[in-house]
Amino acid sequence: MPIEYRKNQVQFRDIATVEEAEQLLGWLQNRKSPRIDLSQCTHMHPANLQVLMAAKAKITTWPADEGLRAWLQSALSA
Amino acid sequence: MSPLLAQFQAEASEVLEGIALKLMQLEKQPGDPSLMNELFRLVHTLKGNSGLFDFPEMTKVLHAAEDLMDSVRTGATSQSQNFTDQILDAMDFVGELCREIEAHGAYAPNHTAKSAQLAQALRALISTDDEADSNATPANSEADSLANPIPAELAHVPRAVLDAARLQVAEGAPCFWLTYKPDEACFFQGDDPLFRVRQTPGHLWGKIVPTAPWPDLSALDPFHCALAFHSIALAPLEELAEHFQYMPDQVEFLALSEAWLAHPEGQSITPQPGLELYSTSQVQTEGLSLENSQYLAQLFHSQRQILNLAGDADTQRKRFQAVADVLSKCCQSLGDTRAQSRVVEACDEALSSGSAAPLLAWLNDANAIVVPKAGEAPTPGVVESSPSETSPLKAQDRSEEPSIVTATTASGPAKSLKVDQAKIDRLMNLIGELVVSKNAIPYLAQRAENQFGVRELSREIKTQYSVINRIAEEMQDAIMQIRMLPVSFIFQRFPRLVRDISRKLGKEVSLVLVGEDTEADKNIIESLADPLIHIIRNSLDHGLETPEVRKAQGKAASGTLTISATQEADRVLIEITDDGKGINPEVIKRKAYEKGLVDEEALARLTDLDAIQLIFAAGFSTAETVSDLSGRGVGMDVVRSAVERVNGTIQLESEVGKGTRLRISLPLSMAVTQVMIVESDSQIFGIPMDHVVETVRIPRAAIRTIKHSPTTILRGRVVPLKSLNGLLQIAAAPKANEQDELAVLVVRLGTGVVGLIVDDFCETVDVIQKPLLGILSGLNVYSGSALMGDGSVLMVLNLKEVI
Repeated sequence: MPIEYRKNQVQFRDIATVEEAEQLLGWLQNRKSPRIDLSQCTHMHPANLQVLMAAKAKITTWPADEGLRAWLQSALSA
Repeated sequence: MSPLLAQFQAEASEVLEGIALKLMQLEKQPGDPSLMNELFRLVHTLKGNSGLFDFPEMTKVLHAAEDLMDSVRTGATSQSQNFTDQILDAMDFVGELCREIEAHGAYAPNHTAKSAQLAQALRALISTDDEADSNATPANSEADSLANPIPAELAHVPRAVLDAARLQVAEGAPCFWLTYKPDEACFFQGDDPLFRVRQTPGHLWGKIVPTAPWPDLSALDPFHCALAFHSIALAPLEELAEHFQYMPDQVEFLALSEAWLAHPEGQSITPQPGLELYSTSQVQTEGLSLENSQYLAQLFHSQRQILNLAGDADTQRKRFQAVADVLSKCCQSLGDTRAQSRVVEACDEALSSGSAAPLLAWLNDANAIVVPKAGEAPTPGVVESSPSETSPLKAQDRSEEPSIVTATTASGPAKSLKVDQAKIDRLMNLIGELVVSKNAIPYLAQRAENQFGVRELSREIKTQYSVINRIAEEMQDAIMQIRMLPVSFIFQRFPRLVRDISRKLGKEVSLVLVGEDTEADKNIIESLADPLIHIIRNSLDHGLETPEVRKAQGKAASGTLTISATQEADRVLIEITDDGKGINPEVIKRKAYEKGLVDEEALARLTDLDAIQLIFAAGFSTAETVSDLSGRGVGMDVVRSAVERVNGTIQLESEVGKGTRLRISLPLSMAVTQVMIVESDSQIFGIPMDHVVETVRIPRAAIRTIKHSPTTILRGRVVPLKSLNGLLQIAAAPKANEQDELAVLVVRLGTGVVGLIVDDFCETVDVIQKPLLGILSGLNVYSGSALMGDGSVLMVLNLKEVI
């Protein structure tokens, strides 16, 4: 599973594909302040990114991959 | 010709006519976005279709035209008179090619030069306007790219990144600002835009921004891409272009100069007014052309109106959302993210408070900046005809062009089926035969009763007959409907025609078309096209005066040419009216005499009304000089014979100094002819009802012989009499009835009337007239034959030939 959902935390692993976006959206809708861990994430399809941006989700841990981190921070850390 | 090419042909001619029509309307309403879009769509369709075949010259011209339109549509290039001219030229060229293709299946190879020239002329229009734009913005001479608006996002790039980039640029490395707006549906095509930008060669810095404020999570469609990517890349343009080669229309590259990188936030000492705004207030608009800022002002104004509308809370909330959406998109297209975020804030506030105040406040702040101040505007009031500021000559052209008023708007495209006309004709012939053969059934019923004495069967046959009769009539009606065409089919060519001719003649003409949706049979409509064009040319050339002459006579400088179509009973009436100088009967009389068309005696007897009808005489032309428009003396007589060929009539009225009116009356359909049956020497003949004035019985004593020809006086009018037997060389005297009265059918021929002596009158019938074929076709005395219900053949007389 590229995305592991826990009670109030979601962990991205490797590559989050476009198929994950719907489930992610559903999950985020019911959470007040979810914790999002991207440390293991190497790439994320922009559909998922959109969902995170729209949910104004707080990223608890940024990806280790520097290139990805820079891009994601530009979108998510506003 | 392949079926595909044949279809292309048919569609192309339709599209070309559509383009001409839209162009004319667009000249009337410059800048109308819906017209422009429609026009663009038409040209785009044609270009796409032409690409299916090997017509590179055609495609090239259409492609250039499409580019020009696109640039006009987006407001980058202004729509000028020149624009219309060029597009019309290009479309004429395409039409020419189409005609060649129709004739030979392909066009001659010698069009390449013309095509290139036209395409270049079209593209020249785009580029000249670009130059004008770049002149308007204060450009830094050291870098051409400064003519482009500086990306607003540049101001948000961290200082360190900019410095790094600047160092590279100073060393001569290429540096590009990249804006990538993926297609909204790109996720469905398996695209991963983020992956693509991450792989950008020479990637230095990047930022992802939403293209619109995010909706509520429940309304979010995660698969609808709403992201845009900005990036700075240190790589040559070719490499970048190759990386994004599959989405060339979604990516923009902008070369970054050292100066920009040094002062992206506008603290620059060098005057760059475009930049100062990044640090200033609400919305940055200075980089905008006057036109665009007016649009923006309009847009803001309508948003304010929307916000001020009353409505229930739910409606209001939706309005707030919509308004915020529009405003935020405005900010986005201006590249001002700060203003955009304030819109989002204002919207949230408005939504939570249920009041429009926050958004209105935003608008008030923004408006002060957006609305161009009258004093500052370089040429206020010329926005709609913006080319006039560069060339007074063009402005003058504009005033001379004809204005075109379309009284009724064309209805939208309906679902239609294209059928070869021959198939419809065959269907119509079959129905015609059905109608005729059905008429034999009453005779059969009669025979059953009289000959075989079975009344019951006869009654049953009659009942069945009435059913068949009803269906047959409905079928006939339906097939007529299929063949009906609106007169707009030919009217739509006129605006272009009038525009071209009046410009050539230096006259101002406004064309008014009325009743374009009046319908008539296809053959009738088609036969009208050439005569009408001729009449219009005549009106413009001889009828309407030049603006100077008109003004001197106290008329409006611009003449009016009205073409109206109305339906009256079973006829279509077309009136062509101009308010020109009219026709002077004296001039006509003199000309007619000079040309030997009338003798002196006849001249003296001619009334003014009859005199002006002389222009329909063959070989009559009053133009002093032969122009290429009209005046070759083949004019109005051709018009009249064309109208008469389809059983129409033409009338002319004119008043000197006031204008001329031509009335053309045409049958709705040619399929069914009403004829009167007359009997002579025990034979029956048909005479078209159009010619019949009345039927009278005249006592033999009332017939006098004047100059060896019999005449009679009918209500104070001398009517020459002719015997039908005599005319057809039947050696029998006309029969009289018991009171020694002769049956006289008074018919109209041209402007005179003639009495035809026949043996008896019978009923009038509707017949489907068939032309005489084969060896009989040489018999001019008959216009055709028709089959009667009892199976007999009725010969229909062609009175013009007979008498």
